[in-house]
Amino acid sequence: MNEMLSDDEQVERIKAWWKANGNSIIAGVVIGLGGFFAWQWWGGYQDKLAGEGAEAYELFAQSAFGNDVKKTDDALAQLQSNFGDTSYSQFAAMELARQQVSAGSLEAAEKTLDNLLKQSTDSALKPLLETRLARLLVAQKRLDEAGKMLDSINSDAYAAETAAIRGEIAYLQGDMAAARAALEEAQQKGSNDENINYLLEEIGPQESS
Amino acid sequence: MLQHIRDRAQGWFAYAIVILISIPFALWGIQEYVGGGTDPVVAKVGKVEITQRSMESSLNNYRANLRQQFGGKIPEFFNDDMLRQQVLNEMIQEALLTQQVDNLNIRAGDEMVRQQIRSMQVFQRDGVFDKDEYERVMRSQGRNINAFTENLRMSLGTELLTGAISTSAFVTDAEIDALIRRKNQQRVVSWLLIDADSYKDQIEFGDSDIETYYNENKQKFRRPERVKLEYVELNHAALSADISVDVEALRASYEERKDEFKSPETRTTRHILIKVGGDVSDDDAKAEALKLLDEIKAGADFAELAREHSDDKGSGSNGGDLGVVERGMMVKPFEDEAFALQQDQISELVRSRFGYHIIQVTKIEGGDLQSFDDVKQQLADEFKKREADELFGEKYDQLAELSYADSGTLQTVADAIGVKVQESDWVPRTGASGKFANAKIIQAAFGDDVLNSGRNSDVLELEDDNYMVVRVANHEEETAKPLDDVSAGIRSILEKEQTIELTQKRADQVLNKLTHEGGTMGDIAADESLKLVQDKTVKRTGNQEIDPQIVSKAFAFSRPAEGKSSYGKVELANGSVAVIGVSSAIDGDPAALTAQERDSERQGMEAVRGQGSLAGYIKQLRADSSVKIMKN
Repeated sequence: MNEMLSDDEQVERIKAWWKANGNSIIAGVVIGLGGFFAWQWWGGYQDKLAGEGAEAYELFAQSAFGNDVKKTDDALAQLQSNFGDTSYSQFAAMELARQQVSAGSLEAAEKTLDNLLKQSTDSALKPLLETRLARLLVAQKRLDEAGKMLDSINSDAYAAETAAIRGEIAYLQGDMAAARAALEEAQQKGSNDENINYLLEEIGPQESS
Repeated sequence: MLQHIRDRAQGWFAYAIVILISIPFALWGIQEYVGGGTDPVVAKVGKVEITQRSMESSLNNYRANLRQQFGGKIPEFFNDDMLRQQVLNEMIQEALLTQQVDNLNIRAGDEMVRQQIRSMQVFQRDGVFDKDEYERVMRSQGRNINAFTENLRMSLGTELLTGAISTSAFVTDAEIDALIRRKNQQRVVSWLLIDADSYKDQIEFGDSDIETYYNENKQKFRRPERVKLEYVELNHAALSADISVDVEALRASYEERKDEFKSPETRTTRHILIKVGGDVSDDDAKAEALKLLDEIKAGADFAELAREHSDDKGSGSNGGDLGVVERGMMVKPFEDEAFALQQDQISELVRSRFGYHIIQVTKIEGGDLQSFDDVKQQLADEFKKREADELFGEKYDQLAELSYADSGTLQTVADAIGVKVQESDWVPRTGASGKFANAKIIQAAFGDDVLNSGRNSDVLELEDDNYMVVRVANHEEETAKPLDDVSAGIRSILEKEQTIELTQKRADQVLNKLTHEGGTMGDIAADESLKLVQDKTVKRTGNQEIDPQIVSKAFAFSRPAEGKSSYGKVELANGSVAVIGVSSAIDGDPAALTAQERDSERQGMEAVRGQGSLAGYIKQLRADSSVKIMKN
């Protein structure tokens, strides 16, 4: 806008400018609006998918309590093929592991949790899975591995459970002083496990002499 | 001039000014969208803000819950700061979970939300979900349906997450076995009883010991402030008992009210209905009904005709039987006729709004009149109550008025309402028993007006229809109880102390023999003639006939080593002492449990471990996100 121009001249200029740029502006608007609606649609689609996943998981969790591992396994495969890398299939795998333990298949449960640990992207879940794995290792008398598993947890959040497992390991290794210390720590950090009380009773108080 | 400005306003300076000016316009009102307005924020969890208002409302809910739990009042050990802390903590946890639900892209499905809404009681009518009710409740609470369902969806999502974390906790078979072995462990215990009674005659102390105890424990022997009260009582029951009843008057009132003393009459009835309406005109129906009536009068079977012709299909198939009918159950014309008929008489045609009825009463019951003697007591009670009510009102007014007007004495008011001034025994400020246990009396008697100014109290309402006015006749300040009054009590305290001391000393000697001198319980029992109970097997709980103190002591030892008893002592409720030896522990047998019992152990352990998992998960979330608590 350098010089004074007459109205007609200004209109002429605008027309010329529109001729040069009009198409690209219209294209821009169309792309913008299209993108906006596509984004809206995508969000809705994602929500719908998440909702369906939740329903599938609920169905799984409810029917899963029958403790029939084979059926649960199939249902899990189905869920994973439909809702592959969602949280739902991770939760379902955790439930499967519980049932495997309950049915006495410790190795199968270990495999389930191991796979899940490698897959999971939920950083809050990782240490929980590690404590559960450690429990399984203890139950299989692989005490050293269990200890290493606990060492690898770099979080304080599950300290009560970690200490409880360490106490169990020390007890099984015959180190009563360490077991007592660890179990007392577990209670102090809030563990309500009934077994800890009885285990402490069995170990007995610290010898004062 | 404008031209001048336009000429100059070029270059970076002009643009800078334009941009500066446009900022306020561009951002005007943006806080409406970005922040929550003026509601202060108490904590911030990631991007989620916990506002003062939402916190206060949660706090109120929490208080209401507590109040309900503790019967209307929040106990004092819940101080407000503590409550606040707790509620805030819960809200932070909630926010952490909400955030995580979002991060993990968890979203409850539409069907789940729908089911949840359908299962909520507020939206139900007669136990079934009702859409109108749902919309009505929403409207009446001014809630937006969309926001409500989204909230619900979020909390369902949270539930899904927490459920997944906690219910997947497991317990291995070995752990269950270990628990059962330890929990169901039994212990073999023997004990020597050192009987406190056997030391009674060894006790010795003199009066000087009692005096010393009295002087050292003076604060224990205080007598609280107390008063003797004069009082007058106005009692509705007593008034009504004094009212005499005229039998003739009762009889008159019985005659008047005879209708009330009839038991309700019921009639077993059957009918044939010929409906009017639709294709059937009144005349046609009447004609058909008349024809049936003639047949019945000629001796045809009522039930048969009802089955074939009655338009009341329900009763028709039962031969027209309507069962027992009371007044008020049927339409008016039907009822009038049914209660006018003799038994077994056939009615003429009766027109109701349904059509034409032929009615027969097959049985008449009730309707009996109760005799005067049967209701005499009831009438007398009613009479007395009525009379007493009137009298009571009068006397209450006098009581209130005169006890206030002549507040230096109770005699005036007692004379006026015709009762005696009575006197109480000592009533301590700390509360008496019986009639004077009532807190209102204590409060009035020790109030400034009554105690210090010597006035009559207000009229105290003690319970329904029982009123009292009191004044103080005698007053004693709190004092030390004289030694003579309490020496018997002190004697028994000292006796008990000494007995316990002697018994414990003996128990220590016995214990020493067992642990350090290699004595056995059997030998000691024989040598010192102590009662020995040998080798009882006790469980942790559910033992019969064994002192619970002994049981809990038996399990207070750590597990005894093979062939080596653990010894200790425990004081029993009556002051005697048991010297205990635990010789062995017998583990519980996991195989002895039924599958069901084992399952319930498993579920219990899983639940505890699941809570631990969830607590850990939330701690981890908290460690991973930024939680800011604002100080205010």
